[in-house]
Amino acid sequence: MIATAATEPAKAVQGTETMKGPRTLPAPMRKIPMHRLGFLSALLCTVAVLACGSSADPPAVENCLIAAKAEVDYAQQLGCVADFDALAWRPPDTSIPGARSSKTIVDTAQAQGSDPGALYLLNASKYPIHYTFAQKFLSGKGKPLVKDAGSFAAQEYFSPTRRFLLGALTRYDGPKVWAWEIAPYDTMTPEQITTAWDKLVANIPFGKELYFHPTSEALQTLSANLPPRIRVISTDQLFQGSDFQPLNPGVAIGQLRFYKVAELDAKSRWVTPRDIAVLDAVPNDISVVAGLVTAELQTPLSHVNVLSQNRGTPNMGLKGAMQHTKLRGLENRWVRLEITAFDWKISEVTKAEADAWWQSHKPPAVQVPQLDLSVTEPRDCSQVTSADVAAYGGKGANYGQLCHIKGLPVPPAIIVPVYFYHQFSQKMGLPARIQALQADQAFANDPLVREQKLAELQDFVESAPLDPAFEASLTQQIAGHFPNQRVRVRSSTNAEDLDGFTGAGLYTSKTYDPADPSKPLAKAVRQVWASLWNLRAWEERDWRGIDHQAVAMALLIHRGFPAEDANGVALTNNLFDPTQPAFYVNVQFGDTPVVRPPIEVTTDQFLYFYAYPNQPIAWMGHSSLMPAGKPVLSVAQVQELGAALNLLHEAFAPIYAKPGKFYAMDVEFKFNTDPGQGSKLWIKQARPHPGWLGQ
Amino acid sequence: MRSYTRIPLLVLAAMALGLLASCGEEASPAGATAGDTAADAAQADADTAGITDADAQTAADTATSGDQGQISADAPDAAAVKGAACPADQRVGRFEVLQDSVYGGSVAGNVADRIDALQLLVAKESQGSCTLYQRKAAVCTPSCTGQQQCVRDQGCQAFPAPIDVGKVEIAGLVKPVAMTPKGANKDYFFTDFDADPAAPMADLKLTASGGQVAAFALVGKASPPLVVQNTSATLTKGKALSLNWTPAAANAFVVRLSLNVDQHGLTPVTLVCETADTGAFAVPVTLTDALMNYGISGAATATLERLTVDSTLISLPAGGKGCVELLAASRVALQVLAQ
Repeated sequence: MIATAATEPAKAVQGTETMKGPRTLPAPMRKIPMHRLGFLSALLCTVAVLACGSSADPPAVENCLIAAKAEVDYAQQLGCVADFDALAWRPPDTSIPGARSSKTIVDTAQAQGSDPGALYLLNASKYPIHYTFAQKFLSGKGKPLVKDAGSFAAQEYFSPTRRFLLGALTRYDGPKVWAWEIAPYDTMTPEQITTAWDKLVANIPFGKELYFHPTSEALQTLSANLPPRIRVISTDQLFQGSDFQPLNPGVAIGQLRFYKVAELDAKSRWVTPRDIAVLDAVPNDISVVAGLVTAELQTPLSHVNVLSQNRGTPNMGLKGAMQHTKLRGLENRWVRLEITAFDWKISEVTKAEADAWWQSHKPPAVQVPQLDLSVTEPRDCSQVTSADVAAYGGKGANYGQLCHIKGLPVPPAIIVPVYFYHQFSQKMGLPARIQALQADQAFANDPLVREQKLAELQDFVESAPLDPAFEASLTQQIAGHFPNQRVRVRSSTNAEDLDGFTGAGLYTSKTYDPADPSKPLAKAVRQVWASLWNLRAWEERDWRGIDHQAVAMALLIHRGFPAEDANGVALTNNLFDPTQPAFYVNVQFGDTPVVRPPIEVTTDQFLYFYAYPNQPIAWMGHSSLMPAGKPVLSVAQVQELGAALNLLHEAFAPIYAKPGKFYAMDVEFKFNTDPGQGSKLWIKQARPHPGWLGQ
Repeated sequence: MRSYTRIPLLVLAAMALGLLASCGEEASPAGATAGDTAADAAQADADTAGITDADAQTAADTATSGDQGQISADAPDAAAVKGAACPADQRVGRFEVLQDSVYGGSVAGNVADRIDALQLLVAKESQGSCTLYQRKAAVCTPSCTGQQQCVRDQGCQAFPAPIDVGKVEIAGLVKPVAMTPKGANKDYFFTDFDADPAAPMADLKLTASGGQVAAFALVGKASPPLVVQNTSATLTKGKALSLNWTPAAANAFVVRLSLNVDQHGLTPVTLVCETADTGAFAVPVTLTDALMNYGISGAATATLERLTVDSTLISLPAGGKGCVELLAASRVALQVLAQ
C-alpha cells in the first residue's frame, strides 16, 4: 500500500500538483528531511523499502506531498506536518483552545480485499462539514448516492451499517497532542473506530504520536474496549496540558499591570478602566478593566467572565501569567492585547496610540427603557411578559415570560412594579442625594470615596421607612400566594437582563420569613432596593453610560429553597460551537454558588447534546465537592433539566433570536427537595446571553 | 385513518382519486398522483410484478398504527397509500430515480427492517401547503447504548437493519437497470448515467423480485428537468420567499421545497412545502419567520424538486408491515442565505 502510494503520488492529493519523489524512509533515516537527501538518497530509500518489505512500524515519512501554498480539496495521505497545515483549519469548537483540525472520512464503499476503504483528509477550510465533501466527491459516478443532509447525518453518525466513518484529525497546540476524534454523539462500534484508526495511522507520518480522544462520556466508556494500540487521551488530560484559555476574545489596549487578588479584596490596590490586569487567581468580582488575564483557568460562566462578556472586556486564562517573561517585560507599559478563540498576542503601543484607540472604542451607551409608572399593582407572574421591562424590570419581565411556558417548572411569583420604588425614592429625596454625589469631584475621581459615599447612601435607604400601606398590602399578598412560607425578595431593575446588557450579579436578593422576626419584609425590601446603589452596580452603569437617575427597581418575590440538592447555571446553546446544538451546564452540589465559588472549588461542567439521539454528554470539568467519578446530577436529573432548557430556548427564540447573532438564554436553576417529596427542578431566571465578542 | 405527514401530497392524490372516480376513468398505473381503487391497485401490482394473490392482498393491507416502530397488519386501506408518499411514521424504505442539478442522474434506494426513529419529524405548524417540522429527540432512561436508538414510548430499540429485497429492476429508464444490494447497508444504486436517467414524462416501473420480503412493484413518471429562475435566495425576516420555475407541460407532478437554516445534518427544524406545478409559489412569511426563530447557524440547505411518488406496504421479516416508496424527481439545490 505504501509502495503503491509512493509511486502514485498524484492519487494521494486532489486539486494540486504534488511534490515528486519517494516518500517513505527506513526507520534510521526518519529524522532527515527528504529534500536534503537528493535523488540518490531517494533512490536508496526506495530500494530500502522494497528490500525490507512491510514493516510493523508505521511509515516514517518526511517529505511533503502537498506543494507549498497549494490549495487542495483533500489528501489521502500526509507526508509531513506541513501537509496537515495545508488541510487544517481552526474548528468552530473552541471548548479546548489551540486546536487545528482536518476532517477525516473512511469510505467503506471503496473497500477492496483487506483494505477497509478509502481515506480522505479534507481541506477543512473548504469543506468544514463532512457532508458537503461527501456529496461533492463521493456521490454517484459509480459510487452509492449520498443523500440529503438529514439522511446522511442519521445514517453516518448512528447506523451500525453506515458507509462512512467520520472523524477529525486534530492538533492541540497547548499540550502538543495529535488526536483523532469522532463526534460526541457518534455511535461507532469499537471495531469501526479501530478500522478508521488503522487506516489513518497507516497514512500519516505522526501515527505513533496519535491519540484517540473520546469527546463524550459514552465514547470514554466505549474506549475501554479498544485494542491497546489505540492510545486514549481524555478531555481532562488535554485541559491539563493547556496553558491558555480564551474566555472572551477581543482586542484590548491599556496599561499592563500585575495584581494579586488578595490585594484587590483588601482594597489595598485598585484596578482602573485602562488597566489590562494580570491577576494571580480568578477574582469573584472585579471593577471595569480594559482587559483581564488570570493565572488560573476560569469557568466560562463564572461571574467575572459574565461581567467581561457584558462589558466587552477581553478576558483569558493563562497559566504562569504572573511569571510570563513577555508579560513581565511589558509591565506598566501601554500594550495591545489580542485574544482569539485559539491564541493570543501582545505588543507595546504608545500612550498616544492608546488614547486614540480609547477615543474610538468608547462603548456605546446603553439606553434603558423609560420607567412605566402607570402600573401601580403587584401582579402574579402569569400576568407579566418580557415586554413589561419598563414596569417590572428586566428580571421580572423575563420571569413573567417563563411563567407562560407550559410545562416549565417555574416557582409561582409576585412581581412588584418599579412604581413603588419610585414613590419611595421621591419621598426620601434620593434624586437630590444622587445628584449631589455626581457633582462631587472627589466622588468622581477617587474609588475609595465612591465606595464610602455609596455605602452611606445604602445605609440611608436601608433605614428609611416604607410606606405603611404598601408594606401591609404586600405582606397580605405574599401571605395569600405563599402561606407560611419563606420567600426570596429579588431585584429587578430596568437596567438588567436586557438584550445586550445583562447586569448580572450586580444587585442583592434577601429573604423574608414570616416565622422569623429577624427577617421581616420591610428589611428585605429596603436591602434589595438599597443594592441599587452598591459600588459595583454604580461602576457598571457608569461604564456603560447608563443614567443612574433613570434606573429604578421592581421586586420579584417567590418561594425560598431551603433544601437545595444542587444549583447551577446553563446556556441553552453551545457557546463553543453553535453549529452543534448543545446545552452548556455548570452545576454544583447543594447551595454552594456556581458563579462565585469559594476559592479552589470547581463545578461540574458539561455540554449536553440534548437534540441528538441518546443525548450524549461531553464533560469539561468536575465538581471538587463530589467524590471522584460521581456527578452532581443523576442521569434522570440531567434529562429533566434538558427538557426544561429545550422548552425555554424555543419559547424565547421569537423574542431574542436574531439572524447572524449567537442566541442563547442564560438560565439559573435549582434542584430542591421539599419535605415528603423527591428532588424537583426549578427554573429561577432566564436572560439573553451576550455571547462571545466574535459571535 | 392513519396520520400522514405529507398531507398536501395526499390531498392532491385524494383529489385525483375523486376526479377519476367521478369520471369513471381507469387510472393509469404509471400516474403517481392518479390512483386506482384499492382492489385495482393491488391487482395491478400483482399483475405486473408477478406478486401472488396473497402478496397482493398484503400490498392492499395497511395499518392503523401511528406509532413508531413496526406496523400492525390490520385495517386494510390500500387506496390511501397508492399514489402517495409513505407516511413518515411507516416508511422503511425508499427508491429514487433522480435527476439532480449538481450530481446528475441516479437510481438508488434501500429498505430497512423497521422505522428509523431518527427520521421522524413532528409537524409544529402549518399554513397553506407548507408545514414546519421539528425533530424531537426521544429520551430514554437509562440512555440507550450505541447500537440502539431511543424510540418514543418504546424505549431502546435496535437500530434499523438493512434488508435484501432481491433484484430491483426499473423499466422506463434510458438504459436498463437491474440492481442487487451492495455493502453492509445493502444499498441499491446505479449512478453511471451519462445524462438524465429517463426521458421526460417516461413511465417508470420498479419491480423488486423479493428477498427477505415478498416481491413488490412501484410506479412513477419522469419529470422534465426542473428549471428554476433564481437558484439563489435570501431569507429575510418579515419577507416572503418567492420561487419561480418553468412548469411541466403535463399536470402530473407535485413540486416540493425543503428548507432548513440551522446546524447541519440533524437539523432540528425543516420547512416543507408541497404545491401544484404551476411555476410560482410564495412561502408564507409566518413560516419562514418561525423557521428562523428556531435559530440560524451552520449550513443552510434547500432543494426544490418536481416529483411523483408511489408507495406500497410490505411485510417485514420480523413481522408487521412497513411502507416503501418510489420517488421520481428532478431536483435543484438552492443557495439560501438567511439574514
